Amino acid sequence: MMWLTLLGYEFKKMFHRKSFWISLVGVYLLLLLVNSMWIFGNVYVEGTQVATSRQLARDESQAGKKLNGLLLTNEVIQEAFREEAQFPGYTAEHFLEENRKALKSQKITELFGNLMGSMGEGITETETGRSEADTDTPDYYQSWREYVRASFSEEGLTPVETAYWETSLEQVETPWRYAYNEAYARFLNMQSMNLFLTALAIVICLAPLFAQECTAKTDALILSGKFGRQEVFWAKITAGILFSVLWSVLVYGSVLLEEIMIYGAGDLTVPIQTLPAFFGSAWQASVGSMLLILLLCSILASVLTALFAMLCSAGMKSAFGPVILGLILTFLPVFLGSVPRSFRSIYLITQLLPGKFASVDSLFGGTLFSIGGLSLRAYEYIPIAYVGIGAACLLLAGYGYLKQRRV
Amino acid sequence: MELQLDRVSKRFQTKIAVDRVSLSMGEGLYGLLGANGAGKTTLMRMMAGILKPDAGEIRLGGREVSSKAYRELLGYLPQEFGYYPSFTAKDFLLYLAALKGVPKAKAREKAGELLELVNLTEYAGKKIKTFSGGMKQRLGIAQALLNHPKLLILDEPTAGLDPKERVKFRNLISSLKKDRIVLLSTHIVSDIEYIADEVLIMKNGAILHQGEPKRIREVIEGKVWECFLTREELFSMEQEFAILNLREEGSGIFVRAVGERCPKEGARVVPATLEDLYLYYFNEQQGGMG
Repeated sequence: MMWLTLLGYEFKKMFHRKSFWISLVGVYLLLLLVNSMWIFGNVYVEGTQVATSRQLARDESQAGKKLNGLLLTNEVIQEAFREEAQFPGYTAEHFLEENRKALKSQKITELFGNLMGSMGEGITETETGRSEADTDTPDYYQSWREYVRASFSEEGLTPVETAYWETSLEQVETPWRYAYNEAYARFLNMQSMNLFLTALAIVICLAPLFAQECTAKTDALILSGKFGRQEVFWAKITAGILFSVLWSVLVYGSVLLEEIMIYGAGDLTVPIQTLPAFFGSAWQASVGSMLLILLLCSILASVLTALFAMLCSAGMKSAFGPVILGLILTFLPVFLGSVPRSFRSIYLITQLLPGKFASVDSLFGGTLFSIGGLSLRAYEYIPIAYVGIGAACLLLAGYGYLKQRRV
Repeated sequence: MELQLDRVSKRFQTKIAVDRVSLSMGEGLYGLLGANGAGKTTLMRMMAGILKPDAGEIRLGGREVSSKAYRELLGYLPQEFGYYPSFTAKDFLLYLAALKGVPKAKAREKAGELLELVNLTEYAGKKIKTFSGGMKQRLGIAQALLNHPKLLILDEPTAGLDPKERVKFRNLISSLKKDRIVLLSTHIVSDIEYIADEVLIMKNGAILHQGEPKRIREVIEGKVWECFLTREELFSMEQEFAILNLREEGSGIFVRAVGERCPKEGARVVPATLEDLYLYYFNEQQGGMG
């Protein structure tokens, strides 16, 4: 009970800091804006404004709902390509209606267009060299499998990884059921930005957690109290972790909800390959399970960022240092993002950075961590590594909290 | 219950802040007197358990200084009293009560009592950032008493207070010494001269004297002189005597000084005060007998 009381006071101290509210509200509003900024624009055809972006989104969302559950057989896909090839183009007078009609073929060809060569007049050439004039329907899923296999060597995967993903590829069921999941596609596109801004707020809010006691000169009072050491330490750590989890849930929940309100909830049970970002994935999973993993890993990344910020705060006498170090950690993925996979060890280490770990590329990429015959994906091995890293952060923070104050 | 210090030492790089201090203190009020840099705050921080000694032991009733049991009996007002500006006085006391392990229900009652004791009841709901220096110090005393401490350590509690507030504080502190060990550090002699049961004089990290104020004054009893001097006589006197006070008065300079012999014909011996003893020890620029 006493620990709960101390935890409550840690939150009270946080809430009393102006920097806390300024950074939280500022980042939150920025996140909502960044994820929906485009909606304030307009749509033009041949220089004429035909609709606002909001109208277009609403229109598409309603039209898209009718696509939910559509089975993407080879015939349906072929028909989509034909329709697109025959599409005369948008006119200013009937743009919205034309767009609604073209939505289905648009979304399908957006996906399967990755498999196509150049398009001739009314003729669609597949990689197998078939033309529209042929009576047989191309096997798009066979082409898709070949496409995915070709990406293994492009990504520089090892033989072990290639074998793993080959097995996984065989398990992907086809044909796919389609759903208009534009909300989740856009959410994925903004994931890196969301991670960055979320981490920024965590760093600013938690940097003073320990350091503030030195700045406010309350450390002597706290350390001389009966519960001023271990109990206060754990209360602060718990407050930091709890804050990072709640903040992440709020942020990602709000952004996702924002996208769903604009584009609709779609269908979470369809395969991930129906999302453009995952078309080339050999992973058998639903959109729902992918999102769940992404959100959980994003929260975990936030927790590690929080632990790092608290570690720095415990070892320093003002919040300035922890903010700077936290910002460096937050910005590092931007600079280290271009480490090629051929530098395997360095690449694997950079994946541990919170801002990299919870990114779409890293979580669901082809690189695996192989140990003792076991091949683990990023969202499997990195959380385990985070337990160790987190424990180290806690140990060092405890040492810093007491040693810094020479007790 | 006794506070025992056994050869406690602390060094900061090349400077010895506390040099093998051994003390034994029972119930009562102890004044720790010393100039800036004498080691008072360092010693007090070690006794408060927030600074680890390099050597030696500190125990209160057998409880080791780093133990929770020790801190349970401790009340501490640091030299630089920190607070959370946006907290109200009551919130702050309740938080510190939680830190000290005072149960919630009892904490509310105790906070109310202590605010009344230090005359801050009407400010209980006000933010601490609106308090004057004296009010903050009173709040500091209140927080130090939350857990009914057996050992109360007050590090320069009257620093920054005006004379009127200082007298109030002195009277308040004096009332707190019943059934507890109160250790009060200061470089203002009048803070402890009338209220301390024992005085400890600290210089260069060591305790030079410990004893009742009346007894330790005996070191310089019969050696404090007052007389009028000319400027030339003063100049030659400074080489041999520790000058305690100077005052220009029309015909000459009124001087109060410490020395083994009579400085001048007509000079009179006066009773020594604690301030005389303090100035005698800490007046390093004089060629005195320290």
